Amino acid sequence: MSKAYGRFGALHRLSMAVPEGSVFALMGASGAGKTTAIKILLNLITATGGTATVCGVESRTIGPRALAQIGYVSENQVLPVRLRVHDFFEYLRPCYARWDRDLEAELRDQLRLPPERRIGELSHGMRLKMALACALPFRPKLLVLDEPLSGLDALARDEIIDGFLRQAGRTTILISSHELDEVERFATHVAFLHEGRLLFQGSVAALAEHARPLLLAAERRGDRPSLRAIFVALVRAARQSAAPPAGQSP
Amino acid sequence: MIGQILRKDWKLLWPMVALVTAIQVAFEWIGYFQDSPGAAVLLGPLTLAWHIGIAVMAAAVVLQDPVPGADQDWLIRPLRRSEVIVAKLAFVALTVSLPMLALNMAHAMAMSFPFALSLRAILFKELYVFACFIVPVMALAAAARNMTEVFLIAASLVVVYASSLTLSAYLMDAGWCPTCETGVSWLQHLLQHLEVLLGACVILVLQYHRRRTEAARAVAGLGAAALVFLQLPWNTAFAVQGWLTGSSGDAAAIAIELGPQTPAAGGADGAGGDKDHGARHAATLLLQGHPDQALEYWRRRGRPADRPAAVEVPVRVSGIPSGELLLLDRLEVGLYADDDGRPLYRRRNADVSPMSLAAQPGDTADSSGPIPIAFQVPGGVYRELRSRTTRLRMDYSLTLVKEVARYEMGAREGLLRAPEVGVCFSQLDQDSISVRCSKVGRSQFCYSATLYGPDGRHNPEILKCAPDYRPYLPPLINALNFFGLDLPVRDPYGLSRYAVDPTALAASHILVKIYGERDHFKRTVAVPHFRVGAAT
Repeated sequence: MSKAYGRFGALHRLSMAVPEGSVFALMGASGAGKTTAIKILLNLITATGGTATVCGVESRTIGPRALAQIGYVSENQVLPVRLRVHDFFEYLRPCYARWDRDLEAELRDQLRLPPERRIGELSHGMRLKMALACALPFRPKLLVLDEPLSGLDALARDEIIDGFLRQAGRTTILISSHELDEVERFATHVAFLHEGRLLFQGSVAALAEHARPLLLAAERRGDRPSLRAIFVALVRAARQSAAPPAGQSP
Repeated sequence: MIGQILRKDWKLLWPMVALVTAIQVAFEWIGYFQDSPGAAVLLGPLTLAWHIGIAVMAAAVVLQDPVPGADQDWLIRPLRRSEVIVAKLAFVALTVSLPMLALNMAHAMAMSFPFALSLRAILFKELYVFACFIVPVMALAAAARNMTEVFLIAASLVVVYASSLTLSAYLMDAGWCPTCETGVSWLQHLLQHLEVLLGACVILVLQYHRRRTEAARAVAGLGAAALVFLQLPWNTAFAVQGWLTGSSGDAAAIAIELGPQTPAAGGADGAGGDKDHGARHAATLLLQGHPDQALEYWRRRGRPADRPAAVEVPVRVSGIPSGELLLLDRLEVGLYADDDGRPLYRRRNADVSPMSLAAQPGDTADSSGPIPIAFQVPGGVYRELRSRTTRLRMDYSLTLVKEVARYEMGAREGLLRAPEVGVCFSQLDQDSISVRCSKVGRSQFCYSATLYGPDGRHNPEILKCAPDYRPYLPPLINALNFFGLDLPVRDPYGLSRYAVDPTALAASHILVKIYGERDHFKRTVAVPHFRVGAAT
């Protein structure tokens, strides 16, 4: 799929597949097109070209039935700020036929969400935890996390990661992040985006194999190169291939 | 899910609901005592507060789940967007329309209006307010992310509307509005309301079905521009009104012709014979308690050289059935070249009051003298045509009204209850008796009152006719309509003497007559060989 805002191309013929049951990390620097791709998948914005299929449904026609199987957490998610935490849970419960109240209670307890506080009074981290606690009790088939770790302290990150990793295996998790070191801990599959273009997608093991020739000698040391090193190598290679041959002006 | 969304919005907005309901209660409570001076002062600000309160609440409920943007939580929840908008509409219906209906009903019951009649009128009013005010505001809010954007969009639409007005004035005529300030203006309003409602529905569908915010905003802008240009031509509007009213056949005998001393026929100044009539006309206006109109009448006759010329043509109206009145809805005057029929000057005469052609109440047909019809000609046109022979054509759009009911009530502290008038009270003020009526549903546009003394003598009948032929388009805030008039009992300047002794008012009574429209029709008067200079 492609997406352009006027003359600016945010996504260039992105083509990828997220395997069922995987923890799929969509990675790239800020502005690489990760959020745009996710919003197209959830029909929050419309692609300029191409199509996407989510849980067997074409994303442009995604409706309540498909959305009932998708959990979504985003750093930009606009929640009803004047509603109290427990009121919001109360509001959401009837939306989902498979809502598990025990799991809800467990998550609220684990993430220490204050029931009487208004959502607008919660800190950024607490709001993300709240969004996560609302995205899990109905046991979604697909959990989409858009920069869920952005701007969080280490403790909050661990709580969030622990929270959604409880679903790993039963739920397909698509997580977008530019926090390469954190994602490395749990991702089974990765895709690298750079300036709207897909540099690589595949399993973490395949990634290491794919990137090995691109890595500098210093970066190859150790059993397994880091995602950070691979990403830098991929971007470097992409820039080189895009640059004009020596002697020609760009 | 509709109930779930309703409950959520209630939790968020109940303080605003309470505030708007309080404004409504205050308005109804004070409206009940509206004749007191304090109430009159408060009703204006309360009316404004009511409009703002309801508009803000209608927008606020939509903005709890804004449509534009891609970050709102509700967009990724398994909610049908149709359910969301239905819940929003239901919320406003339950928290604004229902309390308003209950309060209006309470007011109507407190004034002892019939229950069924009141319920029907008030229900219709609530539907009208909902469709023509609340839904458009909600549509506007559906195209905005927050309240600031709502205000910005609304302000932009006002600018678009004002620009369209300016453009229409530039392209056509500054006063281009064929039906404005006439009895059929309601058709224009209805058309505009329908356009607003249609535009609102299109915006809601665009937003809640397709989430096309830019297209929705474009529709709003185009709609605001089109409001100015969507005008009903006069002939169409008048024909529609005639079709709606039907025809009694009474108008067939009515004729309009030039008066006995037509300036064109006489070829003289044309003012000699009319001066007596003019004096009589001014004196009549004075006796009827309209000194301002009498003064204006004389002022118009004395024209400084550089100002537009007031051309006066006496006409005689015949064939008006007894007890019926003829109202002039519109007069279009044209001056054409006598030789080739080329139009030289044409205008709709906005200065003619609806009373101009009315036979005076109580007159029998043909008993009234020639009526001077005045129209203004710009100074330049006048100088050019002053001594030239032209052909004058006057197109009259007329309405025949007939007395449909008459009632008596006490002159002092009198009370009258009747289906046609609702409830009326009479009260003696300093120099006049004020008669004030309130009625559920359609208001009366033509009525008269005459003060009768204990000896049977009576003061001049005071007639109030402001043509408004709408079946029933209620004001937004209240289903009650208010109307009335003042009957002068003494002249503070001592110029007029009235037949009824002001000290005998306790034993006097007022005769109230209500008139309803019977026919809408047209007549044309053509005057060949007409000289403008001879008629000023």
